[in-house]
Amino acid sequence: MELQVKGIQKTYGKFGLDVSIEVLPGQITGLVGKNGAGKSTTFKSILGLIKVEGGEILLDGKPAEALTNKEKEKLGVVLSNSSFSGWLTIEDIIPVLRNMYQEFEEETFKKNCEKMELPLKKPIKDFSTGMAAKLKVLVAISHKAELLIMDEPTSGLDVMARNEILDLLREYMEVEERSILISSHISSDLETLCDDLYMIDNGKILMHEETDVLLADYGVLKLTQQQYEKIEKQYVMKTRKDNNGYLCLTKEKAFYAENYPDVAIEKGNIDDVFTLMIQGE
Amino acid sequence: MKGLLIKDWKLMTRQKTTLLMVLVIIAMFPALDMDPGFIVTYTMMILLFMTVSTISYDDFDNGMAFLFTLPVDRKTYVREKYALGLLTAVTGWLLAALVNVAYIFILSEKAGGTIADILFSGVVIFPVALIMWEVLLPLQLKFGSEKAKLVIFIVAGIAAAIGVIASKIVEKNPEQVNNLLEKVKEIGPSAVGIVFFAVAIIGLLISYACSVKIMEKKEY
Repeated sequence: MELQVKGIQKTYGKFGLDVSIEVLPGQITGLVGKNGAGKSTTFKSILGLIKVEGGEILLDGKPAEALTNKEKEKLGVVLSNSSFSGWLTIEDIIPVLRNMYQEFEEETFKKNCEKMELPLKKPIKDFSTGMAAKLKVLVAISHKAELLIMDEPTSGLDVMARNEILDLLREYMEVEERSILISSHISSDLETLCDDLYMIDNGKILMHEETDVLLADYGVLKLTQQQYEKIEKQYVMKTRKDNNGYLCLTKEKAFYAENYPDVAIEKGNIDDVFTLMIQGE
Repeated sequence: MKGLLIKDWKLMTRQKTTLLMVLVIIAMFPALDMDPGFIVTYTMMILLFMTVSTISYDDFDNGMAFLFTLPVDRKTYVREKYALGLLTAVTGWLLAALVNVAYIFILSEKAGGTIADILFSGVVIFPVALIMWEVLLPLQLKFGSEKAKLVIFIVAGIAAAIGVIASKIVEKNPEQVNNLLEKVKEIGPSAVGIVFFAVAIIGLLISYACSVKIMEKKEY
């Protein structure tokens, strides 16, 4: 399924969201940003939970607000701060899902719950953070959705549980044309999972890049004052001064490696790129 | 909608104490020696309040946002709450009335009240209970459970004030009121019932329209 978010706008006091994002069929797109950057507002706008003041959201070319309930069955959603009522148990929600989704795969869902050691008879409000997070993801992938929209699905999980979830998502993507829009503050999750990444800050998209390009071509130059004065700066995107000299973000790591062999270059990773994109000048 | 109804049924059965209380009250009809009409209505009202309370359960921990990511639009959500209320009210009333009728047959009319009493509760009190629920439901949707309580207090206060004013009017004009009551008696309980039901149905439509508007405006 294809998702197009075209210039959606929403204001809350001083905060203004103005975002365009595209998720292509067969792709996993990540949204990175610090708390309060506008990730959840973006997700809520896409899902119609809040009303946008401008722009449009298209799902396979159809305006999101015109989706019928039948078409909404093609979405699987994880919200960071919301789930089924905590008073319900997994045993309670199984018949609910069975009656809401024609494609609900009950046996697989139960098997996954068992695999993840989720108790069927315990109210969800008594689940640990990790258990609740796992359940949210299992529900989202339980009904052959064509697009997963997941806001911080791995938040609060330990490394083991996170890997289990990421494996489930990779398995989900084995079916062609499925896609995922995911946000996370754990960059390693996104680096290994996403095809492309959007960086959001203060309601605006700072950057959009394919993950492979980001990891292969981006780098951080660690320069002394002298080195900084000497180097060519046409490929420097952002610069930040720190105690030891300068940090420069570049998209042409290879160029500097070749022409300035004595310059220390760190391989790009989401955290560094993101930090420099926000703090650099 | 069926999925939502199942969810609410599960939520209502979580309120075991309340359900148990209802069953105990129904079982104790003869011992309570109260107006059977009152007990039938009381049972129905408790069950109706339970259906309204499912909204707070939906809202628990911001759960409403997630509900609307499921194949559920705002209108369907509202429709389901009304369907749930009506289903519960009719089932509750029938259940309580059946138990009452059974008592009448087993224990003679005196202990369980008369069938006429039950019918009266059906044609008059049933729609009155419905009207109260019709006011409550949109308030709960609009204000959430905490603020709704405050609003209910205010509404109840206004209702009580109207009651007091009405009784003062009755005190001051006993003859006119008596004449009015005579006229009502002439019309007969079935006609009064029809009027009450008509009001309840109009109220239902207004209440539903308000609830849909409230929900469609809400952001999560």
